Amino acid sequence: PCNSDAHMELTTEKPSSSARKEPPASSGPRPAASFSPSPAAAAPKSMEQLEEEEEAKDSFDVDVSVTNPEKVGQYLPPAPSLCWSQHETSLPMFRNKTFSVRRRFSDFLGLYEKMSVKSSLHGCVIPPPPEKSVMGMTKVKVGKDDPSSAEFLERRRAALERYLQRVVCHPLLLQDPDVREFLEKEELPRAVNTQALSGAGFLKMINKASDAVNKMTIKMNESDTWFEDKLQEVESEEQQLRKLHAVVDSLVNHRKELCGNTAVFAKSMAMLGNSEDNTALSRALSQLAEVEDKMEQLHQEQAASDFFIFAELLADYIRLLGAVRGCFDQRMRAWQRWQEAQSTLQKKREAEAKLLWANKPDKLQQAKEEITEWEAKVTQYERDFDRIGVTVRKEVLRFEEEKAKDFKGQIVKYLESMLQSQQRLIKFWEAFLPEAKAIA
Amino acid sequence: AAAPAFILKHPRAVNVDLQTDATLQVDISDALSERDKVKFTVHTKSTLPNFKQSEFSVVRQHEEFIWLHDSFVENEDYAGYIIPPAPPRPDFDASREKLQKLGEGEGSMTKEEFTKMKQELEAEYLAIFKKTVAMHEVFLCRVAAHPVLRKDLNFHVFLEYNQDLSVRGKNKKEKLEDFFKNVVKSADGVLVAGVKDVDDFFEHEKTFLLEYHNRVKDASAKSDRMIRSHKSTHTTALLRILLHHYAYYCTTTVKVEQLLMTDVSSHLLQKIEARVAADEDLKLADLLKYYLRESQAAKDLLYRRGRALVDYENANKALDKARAKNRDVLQAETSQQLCCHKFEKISESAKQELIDFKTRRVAAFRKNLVELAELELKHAKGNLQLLQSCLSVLKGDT
Repeated sequence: PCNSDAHMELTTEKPSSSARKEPPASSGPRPAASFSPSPAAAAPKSMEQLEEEEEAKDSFDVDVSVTNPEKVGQYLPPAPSLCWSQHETSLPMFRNKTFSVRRRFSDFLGLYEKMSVKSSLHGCVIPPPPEKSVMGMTKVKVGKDDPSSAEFLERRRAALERYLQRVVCHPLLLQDPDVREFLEKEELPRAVNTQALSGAGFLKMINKASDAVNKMTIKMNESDTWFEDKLQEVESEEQQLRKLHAVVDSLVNHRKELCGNTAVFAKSMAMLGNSEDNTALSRALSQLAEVEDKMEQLHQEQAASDFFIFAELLADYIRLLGAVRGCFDQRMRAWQRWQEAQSTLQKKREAEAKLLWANKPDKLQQAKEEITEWEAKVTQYERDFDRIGVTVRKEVLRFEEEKAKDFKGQIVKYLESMLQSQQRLIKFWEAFLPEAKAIA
Repeated sequence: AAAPAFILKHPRAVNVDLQTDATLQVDISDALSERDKVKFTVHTKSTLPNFKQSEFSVVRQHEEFIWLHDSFVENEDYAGYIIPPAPPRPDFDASREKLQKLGEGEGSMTKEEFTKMKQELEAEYLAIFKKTVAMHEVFLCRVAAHPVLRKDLNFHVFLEYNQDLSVRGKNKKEKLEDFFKNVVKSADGVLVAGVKDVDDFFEHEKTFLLEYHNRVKDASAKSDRMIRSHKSTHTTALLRILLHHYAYYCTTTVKVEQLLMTDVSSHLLQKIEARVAADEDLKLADLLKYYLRESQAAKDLLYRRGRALVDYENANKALDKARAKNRDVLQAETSQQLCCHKFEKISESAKQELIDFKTRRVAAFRKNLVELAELELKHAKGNLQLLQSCLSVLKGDT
């Protein structure tokens, strides 16, 4: 597992609304740049720095960001500490307006672990953490300094950031003490039991739980079909997203191939231009080679766009839809717990009746106590079930709004990047056209 | 699914700038693609007295074009000319195979998927068909434009004789003979290429052509690969699916008409994407392919001249020997005069041919590169508009 040390930075920044990426004007006490390596690991580790600010728009929002990881035990210039200014409407629950902490990857998994078992959060769509990738992390640890490990680190950083942003966007989760501890506390105890999440992943866990629910003998008869219909919709959308994800993956691969082939073609055009003995044509061919080189650049950027804008979005939502399914399962389990309690109560009443008939006064008292106990449980579980139903409905609606916003945002981003590509393409060819016309 | 039969009316030729004049105009007015052959309708308009009519058409197949080309190559009188390169054999094998596989897999896909793939493959087939027609037409136009070749008797027969020319494909023996001829030619070629020419012009041309030909070959192969990649990178298809997904699963306010508009836009974006790849194919890949063949024909001319030079030098040596021994001097003198005459004749026409080749090449590149740039700009501007319209719909959808 990747480990990191905690690091806290305190600043007292003047509030300003949109200075997102300004470096700190005045910094308060700043810990030294040397980090004491965590005792457990010998290999170089990576750390993530976590910083927060409060967003201008909504007074209940907290904006989080995860900045570049660093390696401990190897000399590397520390990631630039970005201190974010914040808005005046500060959340009273946080001690400081701007702060940062260091967290390990396993801490993020641990946070999810804690939230997923809380009964107070039952029915909520708890954002699932990013999956661990053993291959990617090994490369980083071994110190391979190639573009794929840099890409992996950036991918993980962005995924962790999105994860945390979703957590703090959730009104209930933001109130949760474990979340606050995660955001604020200097040192977190090492998270245990994250193996289940890190291995084959989050979805496997969800699906296993789902199967267990389906195997339960007592089935629900819904008077309101909203839950059934919605669950079906969720399942169908999850399937669609999987297909889409495969399409995006294939597109990224094809585009990378196109990149390579364009670069190779550009070189061959340059060579042809060199051997052409008509001067103007020779120059035009060299210019064409340059245009193709620029196209290759465009293709590269587009491939990154494909990936970071779409592939990651789809992967996130495949997991999120799994989490939504998880809520529905939780509601089912709540119903079943209620039904089982009712059936137990019924058995207790029958037992009491038998005792009355058999005239055993000593056991009768106990039986009466048990009946009272189970009557209370039945009431409690019924209330729980109703409450979880309400929560699930609210959560699904909130989730759908977020999803719509997310998808629209990403599609818009992609269209804008395509737009920019076309604008640059136009510039390239407009510069080339006169050269072609000058051939004589 | 069977291979489609296509009929093409008035196809446009690949752009090679050629002088066309009223005395002889040739084009392929019609073409029919059948199961295993293509039938070209060769249409001629001429004011020359050699022909019985001023306008007429015949139907020809690929083998007949090859027969005509080979007859030029084998004609000693044409040794000093660049023989227009033969058009490549129509090759629908790959396309046909794909269509067959599609037919076999029909049961395993939805009707929608099947229809879409069928349309795509038919479009591909049609594109290959158009190209082969263009290649055959260009060959005929080059011959018609050549001051000497246009008078060739075989050419006139090809244009006018309205029966089948009965030129069977070469049998095994003939193919073997061809193979050996080529081996000898290339061995000769190596020999000749090594000899430094006294004439600066030809020396320069030899050096230039050898390098140029190799580089065009490389560029042609690489352009094919790049364009193939381009054709299989379906960005806009993805965009379209994502927009559908968004419209179906994600909108809270459903403005159906507006979202339909994004579908129209993304569909048009797909069309442009396909056109861009097709235009690059036409203006760049085909141009390079053509000049690969033309530069080979020019090299062949240089080899023929080189061989004539070797023959001439050998005849000189034989004459010296004969004079020294005072035996068969007259014979040697005649032989030497013939070789000299042949060499000088080839050199004279070759010089003009090579100059014309350069002019044609420069003109063809200019035309295609200008058209390529203009098309890229047109498509990019089209894309821009469509992307902007998609964006405005999405940003307006709350």
